[in-house]
Amino acid sequence: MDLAADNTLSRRAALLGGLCLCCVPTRLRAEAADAPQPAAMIEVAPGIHVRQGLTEDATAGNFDAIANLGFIIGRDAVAVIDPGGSLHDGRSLRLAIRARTQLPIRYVVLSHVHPDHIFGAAAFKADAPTFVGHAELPQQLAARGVFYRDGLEKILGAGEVGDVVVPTMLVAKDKPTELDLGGRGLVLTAHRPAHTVSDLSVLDKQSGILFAGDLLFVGRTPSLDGDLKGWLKELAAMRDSSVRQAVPGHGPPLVRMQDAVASLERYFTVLRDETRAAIAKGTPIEDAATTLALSERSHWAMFDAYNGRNVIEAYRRLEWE
Amino acid sequence: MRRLLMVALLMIAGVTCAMAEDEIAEREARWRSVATDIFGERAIEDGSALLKLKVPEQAMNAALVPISVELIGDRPITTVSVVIDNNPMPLAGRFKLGPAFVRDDIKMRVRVNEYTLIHAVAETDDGKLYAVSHYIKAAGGCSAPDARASADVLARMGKMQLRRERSSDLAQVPTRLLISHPNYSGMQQNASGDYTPARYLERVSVSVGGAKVFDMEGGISLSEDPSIAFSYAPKGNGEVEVKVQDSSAAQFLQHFDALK
Repeated sequence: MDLAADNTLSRRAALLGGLCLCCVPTRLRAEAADAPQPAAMIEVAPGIHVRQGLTEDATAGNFDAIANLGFIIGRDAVAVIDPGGSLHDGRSLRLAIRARTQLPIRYVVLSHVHPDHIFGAAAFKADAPTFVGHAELPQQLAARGVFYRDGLEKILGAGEVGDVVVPTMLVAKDKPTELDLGGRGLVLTAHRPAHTVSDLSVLDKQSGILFAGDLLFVGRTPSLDGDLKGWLKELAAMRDSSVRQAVPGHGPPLVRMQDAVASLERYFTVLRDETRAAIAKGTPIEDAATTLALSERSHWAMFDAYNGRNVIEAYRRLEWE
Repeated sequence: MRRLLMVALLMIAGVTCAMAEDEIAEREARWRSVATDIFGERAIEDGSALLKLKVPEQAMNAALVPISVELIGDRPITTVSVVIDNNPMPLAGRFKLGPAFVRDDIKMRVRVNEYTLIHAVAETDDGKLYAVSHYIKAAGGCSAPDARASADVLARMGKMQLRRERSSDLAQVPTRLLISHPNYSGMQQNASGDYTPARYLERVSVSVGGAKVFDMEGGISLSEDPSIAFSYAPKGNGEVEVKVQDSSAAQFLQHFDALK
C-alpha cells in the first residue's frame, strides 16, 4: 500500500469531513438537539434541585443554558427559581421537574431582568403558575424585553426565544414576601439596585439555603448592570446574615456564602477604587477598560470578556458620583 | 486527487473573496449615500495625511464606544466631522474649530447601532474634504435602554464638568467636557414600554476668554452623558464658557474659572 496515497486520501476525508461540519450537518445537529432533554439536575438538599449553567455566552448550540436554574418541591406544589435562558432551556427544566414530581408548578420566580434567567418562562405558561418578580421588574421588562428578545433571536434563531413573561405577583423593596409550597415556606426579598435594579432572592426556610440569583457569581466574572456601590452593600448584608449556603446565579450549584461574598467584595472593591483613581487622574475610559482590575484576572473565568465592560459601567457612573 | 482538492479549495476561496467584495461594495455605496447627504456632491479625498481615527475593533458596550480623531500634519483644518455610516442618524458630531482650539486629539463617546464603518472627515481652509475610516463590530447601541432610572437622569440634566489637566505646557490645556444628558435616541423603550421621544444635543459651543474653541453639531449617535475631549489655548481672561442646546430647545450654560 502506498503510504503517500493513503495520506492524501485521509487528508481529503478529513478536509471533506471538516467542510461538511461547517455547512450541511449543522441543520441535522440542530434538529437532533431541537427536542429538549430533561436538564441534568443536582439535588443540593432534600427537595432542592439545581441545574448548573455553562460557563459560556449564549450561542445557537447551547440554547442560552448558561445560568443556574432550580426548583424546590414542597408537599403540595413546586416553585421554579429562574425558568431558563430560552424556550428550549425552560422546556428542559420542565422535563426535569416532571421526571421527579407531578405536583403542580405553582410559582415561577424571575430573579432579575437578564435574558439568561427569564426567557424560559414561556415554557411554563401551560402550567398557569404565578410568575413572581421584583416590583421594578415589569418596568425593566417593558424597557428591555424586546431589546433582549431581538438580540437573543439573532443568536439562537427566531422562535427559539420565548415571549417576555411579565410577573403578576410583585415583591416590594423592604417588604419580604412568603410563598407556601405546603409545609415549606420560601421568603422572597427584593433588593436595592445591585447587580441590576430588579434583583430578587429566595430563601428556603427548611434548608436555610438562599437562591441568590446573580447577586452571587462564583468563578465566572460578574457583570455589572445596576449599581456597584449598591452591590457592595447587598454583599455586606449577605455576609452579615445568618445564611450559610447559597445557590449562585452562575457557578457551582451550592456554595458557602462567606467565600462567595468575599471573592466578589474583593473584585468590586478593586474595581471601584481603581476606577475612582483613574477618573481622578484623568485616565481615559478606553485605557481604563483595558488596564484596571487586572490583579483579579486569574480569579475569574471569562474575565477578558466582562471586566472591560464592568470598568466602563463603573467609570460612567462614578464620574458623576 | 491533489489537483482536484486544490481546485475545490480555490473555489471556496473564490467564493469567500466574492462575498468580501460584495460587502466592501455595499459599505462603499452606503458611505457615498451618507456622504452626499452630509457634504453634498463634493469630492472627498484620502485623509490619512491629516487624520488618524482610533476606534476599537469590537465594542465592549455599543452604547458607549470611545473613539478618537487625531489631527496630524500642519495643514489648516477648519472642520472635523465624525460619521457613523450605518447609524440611523449618521452624523455623530461636526466640530467647527475656532482660534482657541489646539491641534490635538478630539475624543468622544458614541453609540453604534450595527456593524459599520466610522468616518472622520476634515475640511481644510481651502474648502477641500479629506476622510479616513475604520470598521467596527458593535450592535444595538442606539436602542439600548438608558442606563439609569430616568428620574435621576432628568434631575441632573444639563450639569457639566470640565476636567482639565495641568500640563507643563501653559499654551495647551488638555480638557474633557462631560455633559449630563440622556441624549435619547428615540429608539429606546421606557418603563411603560413606549419609545422615549428623541431628545439629543444639537449644539455644543465652547469658548475661552471670548475666543471660540469649537462649535459642535451633535446628534443621537452621541452616548448618554456625552463626553468630549479636546485641548484649548487659554485666551483673554481664561474663563471657559460652555453653551449647550438640545433638540427640545432647552439651553444650558456653564462658566468655568480660568485654570490656575
